[in-house]
Amino acid sequence: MDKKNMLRKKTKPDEINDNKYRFDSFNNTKVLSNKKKNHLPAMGWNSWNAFGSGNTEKLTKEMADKIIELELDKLGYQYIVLDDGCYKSERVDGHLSNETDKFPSGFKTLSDYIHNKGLKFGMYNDIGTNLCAGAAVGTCGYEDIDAQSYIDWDIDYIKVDNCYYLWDNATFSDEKNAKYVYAPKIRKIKLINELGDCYSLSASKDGYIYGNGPYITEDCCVNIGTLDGTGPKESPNSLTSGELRFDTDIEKEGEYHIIVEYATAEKVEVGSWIQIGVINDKLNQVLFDNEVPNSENEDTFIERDLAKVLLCKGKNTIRIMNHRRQENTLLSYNTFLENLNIAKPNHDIIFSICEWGKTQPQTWGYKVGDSWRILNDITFQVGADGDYGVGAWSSDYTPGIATQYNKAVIMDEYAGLDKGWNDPDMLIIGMNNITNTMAKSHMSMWCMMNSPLMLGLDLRRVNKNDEIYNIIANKDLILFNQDKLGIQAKRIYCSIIKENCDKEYVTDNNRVDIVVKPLFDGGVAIAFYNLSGETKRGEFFVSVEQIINGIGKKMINSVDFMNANCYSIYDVWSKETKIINENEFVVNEIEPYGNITIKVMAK
Amino acid sequence: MNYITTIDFLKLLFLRIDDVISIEVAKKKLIIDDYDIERLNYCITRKQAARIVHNYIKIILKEHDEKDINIATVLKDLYDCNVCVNHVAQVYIKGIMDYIIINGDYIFDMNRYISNDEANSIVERVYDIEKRIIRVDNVVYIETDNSYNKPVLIKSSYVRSNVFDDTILLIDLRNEAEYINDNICNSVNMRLIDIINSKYDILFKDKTIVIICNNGYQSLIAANYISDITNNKVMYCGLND
Repeated sequence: MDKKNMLRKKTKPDEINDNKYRFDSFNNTKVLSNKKKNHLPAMGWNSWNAFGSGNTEKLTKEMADKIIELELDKLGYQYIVLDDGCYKSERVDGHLSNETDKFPSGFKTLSDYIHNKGLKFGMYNDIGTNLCAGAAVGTCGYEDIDAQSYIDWDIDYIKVDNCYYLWDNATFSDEKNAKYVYAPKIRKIKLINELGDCYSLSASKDGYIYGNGPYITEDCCVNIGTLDGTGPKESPNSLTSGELRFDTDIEKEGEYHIIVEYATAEKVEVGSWIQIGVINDKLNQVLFDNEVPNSENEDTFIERDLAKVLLCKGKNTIRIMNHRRQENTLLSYNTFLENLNIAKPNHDIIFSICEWGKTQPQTWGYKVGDSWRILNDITFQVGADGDYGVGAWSSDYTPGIATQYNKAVIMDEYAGLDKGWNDPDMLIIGMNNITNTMAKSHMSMWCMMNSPLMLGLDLRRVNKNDEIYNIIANKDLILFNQDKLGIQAKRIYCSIIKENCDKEYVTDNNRVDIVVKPLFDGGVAIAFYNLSGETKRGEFFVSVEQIINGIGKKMINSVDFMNANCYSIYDVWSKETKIINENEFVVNEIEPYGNITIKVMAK
Repeated sequence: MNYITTIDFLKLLFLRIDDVISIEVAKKKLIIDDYDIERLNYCITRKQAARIVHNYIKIILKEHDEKDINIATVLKDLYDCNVCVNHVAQVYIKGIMDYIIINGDYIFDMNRYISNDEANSIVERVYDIEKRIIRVDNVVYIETDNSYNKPVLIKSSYVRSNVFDDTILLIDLRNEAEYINDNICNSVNMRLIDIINSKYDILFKDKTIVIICNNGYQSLIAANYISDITNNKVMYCGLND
């Protein structure tokens, strides 16, 4: 192996040399590496749902042509994104290279073609060593070379996932990588100073869980790490990681050794990487952040002196934790961004984070990216040339429009112009099993939730003013999605729960939701969704007061809205307007999987 | 344990139809991709085989996908690989590749290699529907929609004893020597690869088609192709039945 290659092989996660990358900084609202803010949700076409790995240069150009022909570019659809399947499966002289059968002219030529149409060009890669389909062209260790390639190809957008990621047990990664992102089982810690004063604290008797995830079993604490958010079971709003903490009352101030009794393994819940932190009046620091020597097995405990710390008199909180799942991933995405910055300072490349919600990116993604996937895929049955693929309204796992919506709809507080957007995956309008009614609700939901709008169908089958066109080209909905205030809709009514509609994670689809979104022109967009397969009849309404309670602080003119004498109601599908004097917006019937979406203006 | 390499698995899969599918053709038709070609001499993994087998039965044998893949969710590791989910689901549901049980869980075992015996079983099940593993009583192996015109298997005795008139196009896929030495009256000799490369599409219009070969594999492939592009009645036969 030549020297160049040797330097590129990392053997463990990077050291964190600045607290700005740490978990404790996640909610400080600060971005890293000059990440540009104020990007509205990206709109365009992505090859994956339409053609899977069967996408080609020829098909891509035809899609670009169709976007222009259908005038979808004038509505905002501008990014043409090549997803997985376009690279040679090995690097050529260390560089990414085009698969020559599918993309014979190379990426620059294709990029030029797309730019000449007035459109933008996007590509895809990952932070691991290989792409999901196996090609050994992941950016890990090659971030500088790849960033330069992407700048040479003049990209405007990049989607990056985490298959084969080295520093977590991500998709396809070695399962043993879990050792980096979970602390060992912790039985006891001891704090000893030079004088021999010793505080012995056991996990089961003296420790407590701070956050969510870890638990005490027998006499030790297990599962110290970050909960995996890829699947649909966990709420994104509950605490998504946990620490083992000890509150101590120290008599003599001074330097203390921290000795930890632990047992290691290399699997989910039990790893071999510990972080130790201390909080007292004088400091809040991470003192130790590393792998620890392995014990013989997970039932054999050993003791190690891991760190020294200055403890003050009185209360000191010791934190035994592991936030590396999130921190490692943030570091990797940040490295990629930094390298793009080096290759082209002041670029404006849209960065789509696609680790499927595994590391709870809603908490840190805003620091480096413009959007973050929140779950595994919306469909695994993607199309091909001549095959529409298969979609679903919902499923027991992550596929399905409603399944993705159920999680994204309660994540509105994570999104914004100064942050980025929740990404419930690309549109599946046009797939088999997705009826027009479902497709309309899908479009309304994604527009109301400020999600990226990435078309995923073969555009050659669409003609102006046909049914699919009228859905994807609904100007009113697109204007909601691209509204200058950049505020994701908030759910303020859910027919099957009494309170906390905006935050509680509801997965029973036999219900009606109402979401509201404040607009730049003072209007409010309201959408009523019937998530079930039966017609819902009743009185589904929200009052002006409820709207003000829910989103008043974010509205431009809540007082005017509140005090208006009457309201105009414009239906985005029927295109009809009516004026009402009441201060309630009511719907009495919604078809199965249906939606009623309106724009309300005070008069 | 002897594990089968990618190239040997491909030969086994394509072998039934002799030299019709070469590596180059398989790549052009998107049955295999660059990744597989880089790894021809490495052992093939189960997830790789699932993808290739699925692509093959879909593109060449014209088997439609099962739209509802819920049955496959019993596989605990189904979602371990986004890009493999549908390939694994299809070969599982169609009873071509099976699970193993580890600690009471049904596992597809994506990264495991494949023994020669297992490879033979897989390929057998690709071609012989009777050998496929039944998942649920009423699962349809080849999804038929109303417009899909299924070819009919007929007996060699029927082919040999009949004289076919002009309304029938009788196609013999065997090699030239066999075609001449064991000639069936009024038959034409065509090569399978030319048929599936659309060389003769125009000849198939408005005729009932009967296709013959030695073992019934090649004629089934041609029959499926022709059924796909016409509404005609199509029959096929292996003369060695």
